[in-house]
Amino acid sequence: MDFDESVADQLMSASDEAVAVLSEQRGPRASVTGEALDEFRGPFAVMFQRNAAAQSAARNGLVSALEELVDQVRFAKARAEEAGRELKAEQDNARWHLIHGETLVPGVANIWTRVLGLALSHWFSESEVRRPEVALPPLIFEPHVWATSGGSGTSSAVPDALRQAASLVFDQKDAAERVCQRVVSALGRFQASCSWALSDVGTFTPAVSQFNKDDLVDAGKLWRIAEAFGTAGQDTDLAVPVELSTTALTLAVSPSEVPGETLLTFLATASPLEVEVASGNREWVKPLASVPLERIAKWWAGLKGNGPDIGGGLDAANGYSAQQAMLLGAAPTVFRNLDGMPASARVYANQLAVPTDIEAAEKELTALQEHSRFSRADPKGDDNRMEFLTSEIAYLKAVQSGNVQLYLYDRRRSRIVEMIGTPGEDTRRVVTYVPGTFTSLKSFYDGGTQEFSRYLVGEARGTVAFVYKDGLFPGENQREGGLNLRLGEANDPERGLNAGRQLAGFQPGMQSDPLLRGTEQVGIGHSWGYQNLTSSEIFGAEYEKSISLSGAGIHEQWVPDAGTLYSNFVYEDDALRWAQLTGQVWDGKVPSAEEGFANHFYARPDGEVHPIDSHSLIATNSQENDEVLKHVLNEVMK
Amino acid sequence: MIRTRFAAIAAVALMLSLSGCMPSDQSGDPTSVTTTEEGGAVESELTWQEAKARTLAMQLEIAELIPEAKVVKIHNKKTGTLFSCSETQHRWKGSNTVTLTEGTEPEPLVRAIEAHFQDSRFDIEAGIDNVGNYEVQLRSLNTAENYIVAAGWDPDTIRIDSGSPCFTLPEGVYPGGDF
Repeated sequence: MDFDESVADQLMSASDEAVAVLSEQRGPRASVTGEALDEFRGPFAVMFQRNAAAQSAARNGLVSALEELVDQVRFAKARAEEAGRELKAEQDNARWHLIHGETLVPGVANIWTRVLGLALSHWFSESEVRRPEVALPPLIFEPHVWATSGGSGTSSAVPDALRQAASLVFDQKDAAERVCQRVVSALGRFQASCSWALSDVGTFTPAVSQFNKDDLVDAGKLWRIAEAFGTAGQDTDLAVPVELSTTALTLAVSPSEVPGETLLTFLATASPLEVEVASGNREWVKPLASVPLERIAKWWAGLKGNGPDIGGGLDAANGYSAQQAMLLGAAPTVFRNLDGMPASARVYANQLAVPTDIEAAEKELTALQEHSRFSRADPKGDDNRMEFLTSEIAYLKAVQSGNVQLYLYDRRRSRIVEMIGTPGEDTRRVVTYVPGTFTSLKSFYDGGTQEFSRYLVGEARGTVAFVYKDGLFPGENQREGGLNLRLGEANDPERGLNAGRQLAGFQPGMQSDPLLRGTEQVGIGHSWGYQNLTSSEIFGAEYEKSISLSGAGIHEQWVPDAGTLYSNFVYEDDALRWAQLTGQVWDGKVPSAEEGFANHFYARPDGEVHPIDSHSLIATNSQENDEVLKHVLNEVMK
Repeated sequence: MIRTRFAAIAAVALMLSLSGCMPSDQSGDPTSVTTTEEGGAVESELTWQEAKARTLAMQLEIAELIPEAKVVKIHNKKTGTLFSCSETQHRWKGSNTVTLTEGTEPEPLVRAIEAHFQDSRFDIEAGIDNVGNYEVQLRSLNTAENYIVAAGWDPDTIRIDSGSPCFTLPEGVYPGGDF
């Protein structure tokens, strides 16, 4: 059928319903918009007003288009009826001629064709009635804008009025979307079943989609704004105007538009409440990503003068100003891993932030324990995961109590840097210790990875150590903390370069701390960790001393630094050393084959050969390795 | 080339996993296990405070072997660090620094200490360390107790680095920090 009247009726019905719904929404929308705008001041009020006006115009455009559509479809239907009557008459006429034995009639080439053909589905194409057109005009709506860089001063609004407006917009959007979708579906059927009418309605679907999307965005922004004002006025009547810093509001609503400098200025003077308002949006500190770490360091140092040091506990010991202490306390997750912050401040921020991590670990552990009650099988290694989480919780509680100092922690990305020792005026040297293949977060939780560095800090006066693992290590099982035999990764040059780039980025962040700047840099790496260390030199990291504990290999791009003392400690029977001697590891570019390395080879005290154990032993603290430990200490101190 | 390199490393990994030997952060140190077995009940009953006190006392005993006339000061460092021996045990490591009268040659004094401990409860190893000093290591025959004696980092000093026998830490004591 090339014109299905029932489909045309459905389109008109859907369009009429959409017109009715969209029109009925006008009054309530105007009413809540007016009430919301009544006491709304500031750049967001201006934007809301513009966007509301734009949406009102878009609504008018849609309603007009739908009304026009109904008229056109009605007209097309009338034309179709007319064509149908005409063709019916012609068919009857042809049939009469046929019955009366006249097979050839002027103007009708083939009576059989006419009689039979006009009974087929596409008979309207035979009509001489002019084909009707169903066409919609271009529907172009003014774009909605919510972008502002903030600005000085304050904004104000009645939180409840904004919430009501946002709720209504959400509800109206849902209703409008429903009826508009019916029109879109009916239009599709109309184009398929009424092809005799020439339709050009392609503008409708993207237009209603844009209209509903704009409503959704407006409602979402309005809700965020209402929440921000609600937080600001949390102890007051939310049916009266509440005042709020425009920057705090902008950070809570559109943080990506705020320049990094504006955020720093805001943080320098923000009240705890303003920080709470801004941090209502998880993205609120995104602008810091564009701020160089040197600027962060200078800014933080500048906050010293903003208030008296606060007394009592850790704050007094670290000498934070009131503003610094407030920021660390109100938003520890912002500062815990932020390059440019002094090491001790990051450690303190991590101490304050870990309860969130503990909560997440406990939640997962409880869920797994519940699950294990009903299932004895352990195909996913849940038992190991539970052990991992139990270790993590114990470790993080040690962080919380101050026994462990975290300089960086991101459990989801397997990033951890533990600081050992306390930066101070007497700090003369910094050891960056990078453990080897297979190291996982659990290696840190269990404490063994840090022992070597603890020993160095304990014995070498003026030393601060960072035990470093910034991301997934080769062979690391991230979920359970055990081994994964992805050992090819340990020999992958590209992976080595990426890890080196990451480590090179760690050094300037750490050295931005005034207490660590200018200190002697000692890098120590075990196995793959030494590859990581030397690769960081390719990207600009500098060490006065670079110590390999059975270092795995060196990237081909690496060249030794004339100002660095390179040394390598390894047991003679180390399995990796034998693989290195045959040139099968890192194409033979290994510490023991490099000029400029002082190589120290050790025999096992018992005189026996333990190829695998010796590779691990070099970085352990057992009695057997005491001599190596002492010699590494000598190397650090010489 | 990558394939052959991988094969070599994978073989190492396989051996690691099959032998049960873990990286440095793990606690399967066979030496410690031996120590625990050999140390028997006495070792496991040792507290960290007792182990530390005994080691400090032994450090001092070694330091006091140096003729008094050549000693300016003995610094028996009061804090050390804990290292793991096994999954359940730790040992205490510390040091002692003896400041000698100006111009005193440390090596003969170190050799004298070596001579003193001949035929003692220690196994003795001696040689030149990585910075060119004569070094004597006293290794307990039965436990993880260990002392390394050599010239110190500052001129006119002798350093004694110590490690205690293994002991069990009370539950809930975090092994980081100073002990």
